Amino acid sequence: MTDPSSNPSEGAAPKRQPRIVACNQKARQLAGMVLARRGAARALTQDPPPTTYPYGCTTVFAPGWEVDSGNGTDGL
Amino acid sequence: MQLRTVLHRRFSDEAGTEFVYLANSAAILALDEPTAAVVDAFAAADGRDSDAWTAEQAQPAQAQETLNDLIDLGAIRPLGEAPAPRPKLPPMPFPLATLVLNVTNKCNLSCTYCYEYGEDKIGAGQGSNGTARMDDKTARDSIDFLMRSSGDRPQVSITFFGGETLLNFDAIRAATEYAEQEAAKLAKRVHYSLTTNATLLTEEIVDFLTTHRFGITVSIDGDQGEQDRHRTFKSGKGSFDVIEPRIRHLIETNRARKGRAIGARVTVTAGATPVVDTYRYLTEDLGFDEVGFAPVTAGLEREYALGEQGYERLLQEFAALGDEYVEHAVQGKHHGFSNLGDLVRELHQGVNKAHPCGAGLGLLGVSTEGELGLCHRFVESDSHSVGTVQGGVDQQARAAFLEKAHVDNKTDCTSCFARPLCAGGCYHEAHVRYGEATRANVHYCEWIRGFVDLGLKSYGRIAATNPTFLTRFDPS
Repeated sequence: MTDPSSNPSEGAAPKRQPRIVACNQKARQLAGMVLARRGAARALTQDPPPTTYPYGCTTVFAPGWEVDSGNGTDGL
Repeated sequence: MQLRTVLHRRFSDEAGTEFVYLANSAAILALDEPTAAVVDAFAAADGRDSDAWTAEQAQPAQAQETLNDLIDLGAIRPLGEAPAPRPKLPPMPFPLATLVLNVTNKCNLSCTYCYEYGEDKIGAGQGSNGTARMDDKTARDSIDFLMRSSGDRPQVSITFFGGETLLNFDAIRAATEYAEQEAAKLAKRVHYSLTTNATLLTEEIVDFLTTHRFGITVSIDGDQGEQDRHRTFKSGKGSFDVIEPRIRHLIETNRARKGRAIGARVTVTAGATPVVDTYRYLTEDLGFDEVGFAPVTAGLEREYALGEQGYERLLQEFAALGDEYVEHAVQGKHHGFSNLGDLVRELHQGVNKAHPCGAGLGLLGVSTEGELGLCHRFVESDSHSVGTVQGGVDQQARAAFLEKAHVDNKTDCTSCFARPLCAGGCYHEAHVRYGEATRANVHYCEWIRGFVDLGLKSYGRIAATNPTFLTRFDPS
């Protein structure tokens, strides 16, 4: 699993492709939580991960189909 | 221990990068081949014994490490493990974010597929229900209601809807000017938006809307042939000749004033022009910034309803337009296909919905007389009334509806990977189809799954080739 805050640096020695890369924001939150739980030293160098994020739990109450991202009326 | 991959969708991009979308968390993970094989190995309904599986692997220690990562990320879990508890409701009363004001019930068009005037109307009466126009006092009461019901939200949205909204421009102006005044007192920002059929846009109205930076959506079905097929005046005459010059003036003025994006909202009916052609016309010829396509809401007996084949065709057309969206994204460019743009944003943010939309939650509709409905489509429906702007929200009715409408109560959705995004679909559509707003819209499950698949593949292609594009969807 990759550190969600890490970026491959140019010119570094070629590394094996990471097994798992957290792509979206939710995956990054989960990965941050897992790394923190495991007490990885590198977790201390990044922003504190959310500590009360229960995965599988809906914490987003998005307006959804009927209102667009700008709360406009595209979907009405 | 018997383990099983949770409800998920596997997909890959053209370059062979493997991904998994996890329905329990809405997380998207890119996987190397061996890890993807682990996800697949535990995908059987009865799971797999992890100790036996590990012992079979060429490099057991490495396999165990991969398995542990997937377990910790929630991708593989013990068979029969109870799902994490989900709240039935957010803390109530949930602060309002958006109020949709139906400023008039009247319309100067007589579109054949309109849910407001057609057979699918759910309010009392047909076409002439309630007070035709919202008066200025009700408009101002609505603003007061929104301000006091929005808690500490720094920004609220007011959406004007109808009927044809511009038949009551007086109420729009009164509400807007009053909202500016009240919001200033509370240090809130207000975002205005409006949907119109564009027939009544005048220089004065365009000036007002662009000055107040309205988000404007024009209901239009395409070029002249397409528009005049269903969007007609009561006389039966097509509306294209009336709206075309007005739309051009609106877009030109808005662009000069650097206003918000102007969108076109296309209702897709049986036999419609392919969406790629319509998109091209609306963006390249008329100059719209964004175009959203919505399948018509109608009973199957209507001749314009989309049947199974119609939805299938629409999906293929969406895929063709989706290719364009991805090509633009790979080059870091904006593309105005708003259906896919919204889906990619939700996928990137990992949206995991308990309810399909904000109706009754952060959004309420107001009738011309000040009655509150779940959304603009439910105003004046007695069975879905949730109060009045003067008397406030009937919190009991609101909570009862939302609890019943929670996705966990929709058994049809329990095994669907698209559940985090769909949550059973539009309440109004369910009411029209099944007479019950809280039911899942099973009639378009295949369509939704197909569209989410398109979104996932598009997301994967962008994530693998130009992930920087996706940062525009990160929280600011």
